[in-house]
Amino acid sequence: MDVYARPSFFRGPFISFQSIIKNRSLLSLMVRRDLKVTYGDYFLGYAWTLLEPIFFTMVFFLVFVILRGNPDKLLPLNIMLGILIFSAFSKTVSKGSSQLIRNASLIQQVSFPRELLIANVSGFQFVRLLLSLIIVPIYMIYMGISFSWTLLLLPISILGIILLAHGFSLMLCIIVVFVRDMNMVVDIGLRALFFLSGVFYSATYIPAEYLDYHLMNPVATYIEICRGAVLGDLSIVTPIVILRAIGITLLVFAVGSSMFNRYQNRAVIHL
Amino acid sequence: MSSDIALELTNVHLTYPVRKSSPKSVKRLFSLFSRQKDEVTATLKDINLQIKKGDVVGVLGHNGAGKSTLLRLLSGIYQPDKGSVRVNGKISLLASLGTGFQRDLSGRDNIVLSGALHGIPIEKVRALVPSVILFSGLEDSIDKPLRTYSSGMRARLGFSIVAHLDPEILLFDEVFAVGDSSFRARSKQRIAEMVNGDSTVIIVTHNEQLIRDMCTRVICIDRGSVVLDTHNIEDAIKEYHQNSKDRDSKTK
Repeated sequence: MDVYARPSFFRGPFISFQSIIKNRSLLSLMVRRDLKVTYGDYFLGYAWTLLEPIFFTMVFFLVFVILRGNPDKLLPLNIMLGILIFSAFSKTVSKGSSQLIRNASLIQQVSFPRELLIANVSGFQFVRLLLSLIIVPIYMIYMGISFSWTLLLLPISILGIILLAHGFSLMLCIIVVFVRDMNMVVDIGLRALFFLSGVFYSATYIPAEYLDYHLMNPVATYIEICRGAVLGDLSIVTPIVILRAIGITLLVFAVGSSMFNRYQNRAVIHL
Repeated sequence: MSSDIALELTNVHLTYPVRKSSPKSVKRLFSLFSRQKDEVTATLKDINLQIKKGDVVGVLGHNGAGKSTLLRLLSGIYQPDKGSVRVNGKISLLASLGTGFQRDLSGRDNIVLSGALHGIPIEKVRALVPSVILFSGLEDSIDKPLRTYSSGMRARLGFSIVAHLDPEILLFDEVFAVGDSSFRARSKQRIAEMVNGDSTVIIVTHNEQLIRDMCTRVICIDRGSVVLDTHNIEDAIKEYHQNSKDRDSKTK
């Protein structure tokens, strides 16, 4: 058996996928460990996954509905969904991109599939997002919003945003090892993306001539898919818009995993 | 590779970056993704080795000679720039005690996590937990968070996990007996069992007595090259001393 064999650039996505399937037990153990460490010691435990988005929604509600007098009754729900989807993306990319550096000593001590470190973050944020979304049906009942078939599109939004973030994390964690400044770029980029992705405003507020540009941003599209799925209104997220977001996501994942598999061994030397 | 060979390195060359900091120029930024000669220093040079199954090999060399790098290369953590590394069997590197430990998890949870990171299937690790706890002698505190353990207790738990790994090829990097005298005695006995069993063992250490007691072959490394590969242990130790003297005289 060869310890080392340089993978072809284009086999990256398949190698990553196979590795995650093969090591799913270890990945599941790592995700459960992080959930236990993050929420296990708190008095309110997993309730924090709900309290955090509720708190930020209240802040935005205060600013936009009460102080600015916006009459849109659905704005708090739109904001909450925006925050949930965006924070899953933002936290995955922000933590995932520094995973190799943060786990440098572990990487230097034991040989194990390093993509698990990134998948661990994505898996943790996936579970966290699912737990946070428990608030949505409660809120829908409270607001009298009927449950529509469009809710079936919710998994596209959830899986899409996590896979997109995972792809970016795989790419960025390698670059960050070589160029530490990239950490700052990621931080600034995520803050800019927050304002550009329609987190605290619905795409209905965007003038028609700019809407298509707005929806070229897959993060904005996944937020709108989530809103459309919950509110039963797919006027903004047409099938083409959805397929385009999925296409961009698969491309980002393919490039990210190829880059990771190609350069991870070189990155380890630089840790 | 013949079936009685556990490890084989052919013309292996490994370079390290001279500076690990971020690039200070655009030119260096673009050079990072390709190893250019002015950016790196050779850590291992043209290494050719064949290690048979069941061999117990000591690796001697001064600090920075490339011993630990060699073990990381064999375990798959590093890849060679040139040449090939072939491994015939399940391999474990023991470079530190408590690999992957999480301070907020209990000792019991850490056994499962660390064992799984060492490549043991999770069901098998779970089955080993009672035996690891018994070996560590930490029955009373095993369900407490690791942050409440003393450094000695952590090392005991770490060694107890390592003692239950059952690889075909075992790489030791200065990880030996820890804890109080009775635990040290048990640890030494367990290491001797691992070394005297069927496993192929490579030991990196500065402890000459350990080399004399356990090894059947010694490799001396100096500045990334193998300078001596012999079954005569005393010759190897003399070579190691000579290299150290040469280095000292150059630095004075």
